[in-house]
Amino acid sequence: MAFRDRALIAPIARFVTEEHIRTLLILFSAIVFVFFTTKDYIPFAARLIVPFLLLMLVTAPNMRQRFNLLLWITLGLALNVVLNFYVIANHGFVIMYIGIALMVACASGEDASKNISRAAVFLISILMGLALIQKLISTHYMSGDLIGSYLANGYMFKALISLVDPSWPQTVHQNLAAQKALMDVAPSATATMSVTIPPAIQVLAILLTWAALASQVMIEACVLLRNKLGVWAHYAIMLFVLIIYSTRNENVFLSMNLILGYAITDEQSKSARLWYVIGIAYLMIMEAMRLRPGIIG
Amino acid sequence: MERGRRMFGKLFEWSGRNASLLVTTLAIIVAGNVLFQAYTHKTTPLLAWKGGGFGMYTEPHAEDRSVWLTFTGADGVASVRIWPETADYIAWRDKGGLRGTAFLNGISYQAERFRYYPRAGQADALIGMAARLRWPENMVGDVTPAEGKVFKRNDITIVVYENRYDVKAQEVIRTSVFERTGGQS
Repeated sequence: MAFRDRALIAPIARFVTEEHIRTLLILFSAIVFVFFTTKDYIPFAARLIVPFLLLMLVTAPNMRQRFNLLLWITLGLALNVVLNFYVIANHGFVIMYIGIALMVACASGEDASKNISRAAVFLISILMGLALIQKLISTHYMSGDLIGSYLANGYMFKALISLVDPSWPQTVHQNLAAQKALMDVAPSATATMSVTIPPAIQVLAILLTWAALASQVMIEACVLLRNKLGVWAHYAIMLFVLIIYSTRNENVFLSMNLILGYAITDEQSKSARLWYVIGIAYLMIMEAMRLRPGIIG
Repeated sequence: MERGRRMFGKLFEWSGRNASLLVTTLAIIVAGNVLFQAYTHKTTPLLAWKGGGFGMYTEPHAEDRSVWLTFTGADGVASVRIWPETADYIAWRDKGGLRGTAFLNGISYQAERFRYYPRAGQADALIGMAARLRWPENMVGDVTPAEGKVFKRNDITIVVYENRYDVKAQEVIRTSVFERTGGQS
């Protein structure tokens, strides 16, 4: 028996596969709720009111009410953007844009699915495409220095590298101590501190740098060629999310990738919808519990 | 109430009629936001991770930045790091009493946000706050204000440093990304 046909799963699978807009509203509400309750810089007024509006949104019976509620929720998200413009990363901006897109979709009646899908394609392709360009024009990234720093500081693959080089945790510790010492050096024009990055790690940094670029190109291509690739474009998006999840703590950002992926599913690819929902639910639960099982440390 | 309901109704219908145009406009706004953030990051000390953060994972993070104050006094120059806070600063803050602790907390809060996008206005505000304090000897040593009990704005400089890895050279380099002295126009 297929997973989606099991007695406990079948009703959920049917709902999330057939009710595109309602599921999107529930997913959006879950993401905003977790975002608003786990980030301490969110303005108090928005943090207080928005969760109640989200509850009303998931139970609102008609599109007009959903539109009105989304308008107020999006204003709460916009307030956060305005007050923290130079403090927040892209999560705050992207969730606001998704809110606006959902608002427009709810106003467009029968075309709701078509419009949210179009908006999601724009969002994911513009954000991924321009992020790719930013990487290409950054000498710090392209030289491998950024990924190299993550490896050398033990932020990525520390446990894996330790399997090959048992002294790696000690090296990481020394590198972190060197940086802390550099932070403590009194102001001067330039200061430097030696760190240890073996040649093999330098090569790995370059390989990972290019692998990350290739995965972004792949996602961009999959979104643009989604009609030809069908459900495989969605599995590629999920694979991208899985890879990032295994290396970086970016659950809110990743859940936004998944909701955009869910939004662009159509009749041809709607079998992927259940997996998107499971993915978002998992990420939200982990974010709320501050857990990250299955990480390649 | 009825007027508000009618206004929302009109907005709903207008959005529905112009949905396609609105989605295209949203795409243009998003692209504009990303390009503006990228331009600001390239031309100012704005972190790639902030102000929209669409350049995340291309440049060092805020954790790699530190904020320092330097005080020019009668007997030389003293330096105090205000972000990340030093143990001395935390101890001073915790013993500051209700108002003192609140004020020093305010400096920490401003300094933490300042490193994301250091600008003249915010620098002047932080320098102004620092100029209201009598900095303890265990932080500024023998350096005392040229006159009076507190350092004048002109004698205080704020500097933001950034640590960057150079993998090939196997070193971390700290450079100044922003510097401003109080009283500058």
